[in-house]
Amino acid sequence: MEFIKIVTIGIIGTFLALSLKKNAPEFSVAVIIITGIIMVFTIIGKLSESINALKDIYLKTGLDFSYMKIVMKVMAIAYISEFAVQICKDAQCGLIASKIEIGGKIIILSLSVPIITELINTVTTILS
Amino acid sequence: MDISIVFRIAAVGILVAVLNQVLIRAGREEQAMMTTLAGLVVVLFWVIHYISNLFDTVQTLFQL
Repeated sequence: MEFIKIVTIGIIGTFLALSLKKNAPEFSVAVIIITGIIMVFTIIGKLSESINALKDIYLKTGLDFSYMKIVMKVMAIAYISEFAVQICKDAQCGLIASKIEIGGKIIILSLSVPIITELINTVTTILS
Repeated sequence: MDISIVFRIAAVGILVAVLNQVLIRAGREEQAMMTTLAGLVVVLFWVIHYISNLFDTVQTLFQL
């Protein structure tokens, strides 16, 4: 049922955006952004259920919770940068899109450095 | 989430486009430019409101 709602909103949004494309291009980008956001809001409920299930599974493993927090942060950053990159590409601004992508990657890398050092430490302790 | 915002933005877009053409035909290019900018600012306020909603939802969703 949720999926059908998303498909209809998407089709309506594309028609409106195309009708505005010729004589009011800025507004077509606004329509595209808003339809994207509304589609996300309709389906966001399902995502939160699965994330809670993942968290419960992770807690069962007894690992340190900070790693899960980093994974969550990386997922959030990846999703938002993907959202922004697609909008910029849609508005024919490839340069801005690639800059956002690079920024997202840098932030994700900086977040994952502690995990990498932890991994190296455990490997060296095992080997030595 | 209601879909009326999409129709509202499309309506503002069409209105501004028509107004733009009318003003250009009437020889007032500056006013045409101003009305386009005004319409754009109004639409940007709505879009930014929805984008901030999206960011808050993502933040609470990923429990950050």
